[in-house]
Amino acid sequence: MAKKAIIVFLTVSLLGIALFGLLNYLVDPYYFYRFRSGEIRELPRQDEEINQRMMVVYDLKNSPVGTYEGLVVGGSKSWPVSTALLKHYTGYDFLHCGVVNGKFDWYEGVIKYAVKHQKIKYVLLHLSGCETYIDEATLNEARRMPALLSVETDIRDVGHFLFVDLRSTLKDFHKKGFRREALKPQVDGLRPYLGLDAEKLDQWIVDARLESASKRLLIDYYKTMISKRLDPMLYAQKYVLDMEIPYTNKLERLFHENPTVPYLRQNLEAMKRIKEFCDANNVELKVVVGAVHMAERYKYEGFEYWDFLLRLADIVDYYDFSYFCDINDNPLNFWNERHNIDTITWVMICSIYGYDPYHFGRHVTKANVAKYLMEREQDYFVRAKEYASTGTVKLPGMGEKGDLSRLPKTFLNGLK
Amino acid sequence: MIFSTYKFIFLFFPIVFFGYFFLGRLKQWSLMKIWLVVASLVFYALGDIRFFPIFVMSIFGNYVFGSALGGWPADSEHMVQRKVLLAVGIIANVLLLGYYKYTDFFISNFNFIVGGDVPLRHIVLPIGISFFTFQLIAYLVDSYKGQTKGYNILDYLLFITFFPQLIVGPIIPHAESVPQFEDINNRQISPRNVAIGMLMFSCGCAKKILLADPLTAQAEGFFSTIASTPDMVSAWYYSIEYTISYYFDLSSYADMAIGLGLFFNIDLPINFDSPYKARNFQDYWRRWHITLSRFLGAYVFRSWYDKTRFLHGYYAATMVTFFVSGFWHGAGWTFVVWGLVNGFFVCTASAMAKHGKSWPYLVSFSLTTLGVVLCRILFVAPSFTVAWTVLKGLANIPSLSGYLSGRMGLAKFGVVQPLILVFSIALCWFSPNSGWMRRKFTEYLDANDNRALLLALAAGVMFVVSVMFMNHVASFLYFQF
Repeated sequence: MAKKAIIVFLTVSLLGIALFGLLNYLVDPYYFYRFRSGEIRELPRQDEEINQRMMVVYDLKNSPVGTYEGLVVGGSKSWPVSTALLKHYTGYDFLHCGVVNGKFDWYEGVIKYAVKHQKIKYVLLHLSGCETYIDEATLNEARRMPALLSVETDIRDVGHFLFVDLRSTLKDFHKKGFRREALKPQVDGLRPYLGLDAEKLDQWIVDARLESASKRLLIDYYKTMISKRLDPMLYAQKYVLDMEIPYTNKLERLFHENPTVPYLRQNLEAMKRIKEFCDANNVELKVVVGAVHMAERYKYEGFEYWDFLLRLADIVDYYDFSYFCDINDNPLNFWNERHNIDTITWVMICSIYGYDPYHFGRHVTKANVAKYLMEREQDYFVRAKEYASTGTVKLPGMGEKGDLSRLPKTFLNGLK
Repeated sequence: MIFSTYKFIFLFFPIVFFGYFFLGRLKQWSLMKIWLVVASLVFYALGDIRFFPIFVMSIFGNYVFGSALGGWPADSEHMVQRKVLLAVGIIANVLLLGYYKYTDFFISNFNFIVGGDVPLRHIVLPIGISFFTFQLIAYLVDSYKGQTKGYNILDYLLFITFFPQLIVGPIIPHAESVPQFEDINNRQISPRNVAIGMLMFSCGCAKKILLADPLTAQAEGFFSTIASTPDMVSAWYYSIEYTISYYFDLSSYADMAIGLGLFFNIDLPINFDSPYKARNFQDYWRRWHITLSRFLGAYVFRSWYDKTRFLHGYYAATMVTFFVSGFWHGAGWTFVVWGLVNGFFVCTASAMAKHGKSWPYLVSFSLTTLGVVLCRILFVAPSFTVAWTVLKGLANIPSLSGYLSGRMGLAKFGVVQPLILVFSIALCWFSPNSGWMRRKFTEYLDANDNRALLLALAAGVMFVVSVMFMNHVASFLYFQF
């Protein structure tokens, strides 16, 4: 009887597991098999349920050599970086490799892979700051590192995606049956809300091939305001300042705790390897540290993070947009605690290439990093003092200092 | 390495299992043991290679001490040397555990008392250190008593490192495990044991992946982000949720460990026996983490009971035992207080029983359940402040108006987790446990009853469903000890 019981158990198990694998293959919730085969190459990369890392790597693998000459590498904060704008300044065709939860293992892996498989000449590496403290472990399937980056074949992934979590598979199957189409965002609604020249805007959006997550989310942002009849400042209060925990709690932690950045050493070592690799392969590397709002600073702003910025300058020059300033203070420039809206990133890119009407950004080098960080520390303590005496740090609002949520049409006139 | 992962189930375990019994077929008895020891060491190393050298040094160091203790004759001439050796061995183990687990605790208390500013070390805890240190200390004590004579190094290594129970128990005394490894009848595959092992392992997998993990994720999210007094509904919901999820997390590991042990014909003791059906705290602790209670009873309670007979020995020994238990569970005063509160409840139950007092079943059951939930809050809260905040939330009656007026809703709890929670509570209170399933399955197997095949089918289904959700397995809560 025991042997019969074992046979029953094994038969049920093996049949069930085989069925499970087949279902995953047919539904393909993370598009893995379709990317791998080259059946699909383009999908809006702002869908957090898609494994963007896979998309990028298979795009690089399946594209003819020379399709891309530049890379935008970063986390979700890099999504608004427009490849069209970069092409305007550099002349290169860029592939946007920005993924959700960017980390240095991804940055290093994709840069090396891209240089090997394409004739990459230029890398814009957009750092978020949160790489220094977010857990290294893969958070879910959408953030899984492709096996191709670490091994010669993707056989490991082929097996892995046969057995992905059933929840995703069932959700996809329920929505669209086998092999669902990805939802494509609609950008038509965007035009009335921005002050930019319509033609240029369409060009940027269309040419960027829907790379920017915040384009879809900007629409959500505006729709939320209209449907809930929210004033932009009320939106900012709810979705930016008080996201996760109240703004006042964040200030309390910012000024009374000393956050640790546990991955400081690993990040700097990876940065060094990236720099050396780029130098050895004649790849121009531009490093950017993205904009940060007051509502996010409590997670890592402090002595350890400043130490990270100091040591980063020893390795590579970078453009830092994360310091204390009106643009970063103004919550209207952000659509949630961690992400700025498109216009800020466009201003950042223009600033890097010499068009800087808003004087946003600091070009940090080994020579000036100490002075830069001293000023940053002073700005921190000015705000700490304000918090100590008033219980808050007052932020500018609509139409006030630093508000770039609606760029004037004249902004584009200066674009050369 | 976690049991309920693809790597363990489809790679590590089959290699170890078939390799072990292949050597058995070749009648290589010593090689069988070496294979299992090496596999167990690999199992530990794969969990965290950083601490592998410490683990190996600790077990070999204790073997040297234990052998010396066992080697010296137990006569009055060597009494002092033996006592000194035992003391040194125990202190060394305690210091090792103390360094990794309690350094920051002592530093923060030191800073608090003297107003110092010594920085915390944030030392990472080697996995399983609390468990294997206990077993090593027990081994030294038993060696001192002459109870480990005749054990060779392989027996010792197997007793300590046997991978199903290495990290989180069940804690099995050497007197129970060594004879089983020595038993010649256990050196061939036993289809009966394999079948029962499959059932137990599948039960454990299902409990972990389908019940424990979804509930733990939600409950831990609540406890880790408390900033102000929660509303009453949230406080009760998450406290109960954590209480239930904690049980399923721990008992699932025990089930899987027992199942894995059976594959190798090793019968590990049960660790949980429907503790949430207990009618008082004495009953509860006879059903919860049974092997830990047995261990503490044998090595802590017994020695203190003999010393404190003059001081109502039972109660004093109980409080000391629970103090040790609390301290062992975590490096924080909340754990100590948790232990003492449990000890108080146990003493109360004992005193009531001694004086023939009892309450109606529903009353005692309800009070016990309430006590378990309240103690769990103290256990999981990172500080007394957080614990007090949650406790205030439990009585936050004015917050109910938010729900009644529609300002607050139940949607924040989701749909799936509340359903899982209700189902889990029903399992805890009304259904037989995995131990019962095992007994029934064994009966059916032995009686050639076809109902065994139905249970095998059920086990297969549980296993397959668990595999389907295995991608997001969280580590076991007891790994933090």
